[in-house]
Amino acid sequence: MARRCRAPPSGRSARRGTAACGSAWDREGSAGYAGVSFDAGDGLRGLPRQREPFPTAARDADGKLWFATTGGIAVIDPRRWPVNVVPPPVVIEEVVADDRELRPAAGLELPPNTRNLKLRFAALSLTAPERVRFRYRLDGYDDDWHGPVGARTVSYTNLPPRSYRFRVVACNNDGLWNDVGATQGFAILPAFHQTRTFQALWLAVIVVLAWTAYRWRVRQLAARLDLQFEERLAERTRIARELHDTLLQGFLSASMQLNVAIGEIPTEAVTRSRLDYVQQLMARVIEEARGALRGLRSSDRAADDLGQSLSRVRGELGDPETASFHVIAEGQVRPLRPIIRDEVYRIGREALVNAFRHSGARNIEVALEYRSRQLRLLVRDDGKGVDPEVLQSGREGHWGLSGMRERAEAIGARLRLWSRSGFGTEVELAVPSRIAFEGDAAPGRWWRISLFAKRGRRGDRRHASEMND
Amino acid sequence: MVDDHPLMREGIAAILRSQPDTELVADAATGREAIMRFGQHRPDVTLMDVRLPDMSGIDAVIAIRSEFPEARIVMLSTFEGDVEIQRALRAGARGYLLKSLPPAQIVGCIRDVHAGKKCIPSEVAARLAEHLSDDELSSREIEVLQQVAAGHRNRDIAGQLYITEETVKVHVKHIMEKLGARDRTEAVAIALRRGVIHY
Repeated sequence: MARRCRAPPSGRSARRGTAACGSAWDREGSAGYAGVSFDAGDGLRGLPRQREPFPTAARDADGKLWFATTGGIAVIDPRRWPVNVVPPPVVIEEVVADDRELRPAAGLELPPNTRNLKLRFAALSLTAPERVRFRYRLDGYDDDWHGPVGARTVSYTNLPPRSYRFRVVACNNDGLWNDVGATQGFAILPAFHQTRTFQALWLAVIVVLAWTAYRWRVRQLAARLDLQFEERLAERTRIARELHDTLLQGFLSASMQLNVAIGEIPTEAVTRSRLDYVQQLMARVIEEARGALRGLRSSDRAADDLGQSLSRVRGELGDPETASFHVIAEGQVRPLRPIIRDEVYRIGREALVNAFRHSGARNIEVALEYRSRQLRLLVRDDGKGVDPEVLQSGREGHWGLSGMRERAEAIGARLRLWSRSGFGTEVELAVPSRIAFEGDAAPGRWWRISLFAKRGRRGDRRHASEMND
Repeated sequence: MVDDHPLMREGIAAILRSQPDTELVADAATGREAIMRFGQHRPDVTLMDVRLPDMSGIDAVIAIRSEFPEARIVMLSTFEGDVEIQRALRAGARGYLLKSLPPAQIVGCIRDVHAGKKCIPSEVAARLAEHLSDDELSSREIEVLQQVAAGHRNRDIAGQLYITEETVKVHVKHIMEKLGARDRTEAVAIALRRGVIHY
């Protein structure tokens, strides 16, 4: 018995079901037109009969199409295809947050730490509910629409805490979309550890920890530095004692005896004047030893200014005044740690000795720069320069360069030397403030000082003083 | 003649031998020896090194003078530390000599003291005048300072002297104030120079 295909085309050329009303229509690609499939859901029974060469489909004079199937004859009237024109209303039925079922409501708030979120929705389309399709999108999470899908639930897991809007639209069996759809706004509340307050707190804790670690480190370094100073102090005391007990006492005694012996030699004897000279020499050595032992240079109040001490070097060397010699201090002169002052002085002195004795320079200049970050000592001359080979080779000792380097390293300073044959020499010593200046080791103060120094520097006009010897 | 350095004793002996009016009657290397020998020999003039291995020369002066108040003692020192000079003179020393002075001056000084005069060379006097008005360190402070000079930390010093670390800090602060030092290192340097403590 003939049946009429009641179902309309889906309009989306979806091939659904098992039987096609006409096999030719299925070859949509080659023919260039869309195919429409019908199945049992449309009331089509049986399978199409296709036994060549007999035709199984025919059109009658009214334009109806007749098909022979295994279940009988099917007929469809193309002019009277019923189309479902009702867009399906969509509802969001339920929100399930971690197995808790919630009625959809405006401003729905989900508890903190909601891990699984399921949304159930439905569309009312009575014609063919199984052919209803949905598209959905979670604003605040999805970038694009999902679907179309047939499923009526969608799950999300581990959504971050914030506000969301779930939107779902549906189409009926004929692909007619209800673009308004349904919307459900909701928010997942943040757990305490997800709140901004907490995050700010956490950040603060990290900053404080980092700062504490930094301070601890600085303090540790300062303590190590202090320990170094103390060790050196003890060492210095020990060496001084040794010198005092052996060398100096011996010299004093020898000098006394020499003095007595000289007294026994007639004034006119030739040896007398020679011995007198030896006597004077010994007196000088004794004075120097006494001076060294007393740490005269390092702690004498009058010699406290590094610049002044350095400006006296030429006088001490007893060099003929062939070169012009200047010592310039720049910046706010700050008190140096005595040991550092000592070392800087010795390095500077060594550099000056080189300049006076070996460079043949016409101009020799010492610049002392008291910066907020460091103390910088520059000793320049326009002499013949240090032979690069000397710089490279082990003959450094001749210039006292290795000694200078060692001294610089020992106090954590950096020593650099530029020189070219014929273009003079420049020795630069940079001592970090923390090491160089009095009181800078305490980290708190260090910061304050460097901040103030930065601010103060601008207003601080460059004051340079010249100290000729 | 009291000095723990044999070479030094030899030198002084040579000077004394060279003079017609001086004679070395006895010498000693330690404070205890000096006190003992003084009783035996009753010298006209005693030359006493400030630094002796068993006690300070100044303590030896005090000990000798408590028994023999008329003893004429001249201190001998390598350095002119004002505190040391002051202490020596207060202890009753009649003179303060530097070992580096020319022998003639040393002998002259011995003669002066023998004649009942005092003998303070100009170098020594100048050093003394420098710090006349300064505060003196207490004996406890000197103890602390000696420990600092030995390279000990506050904590160690506290343990050694049976006081708290805080007390040590206070002492160190006072020491620095009194000596006009800016830190421990400088305090030690000044104290050594002025003879508050010794190497």
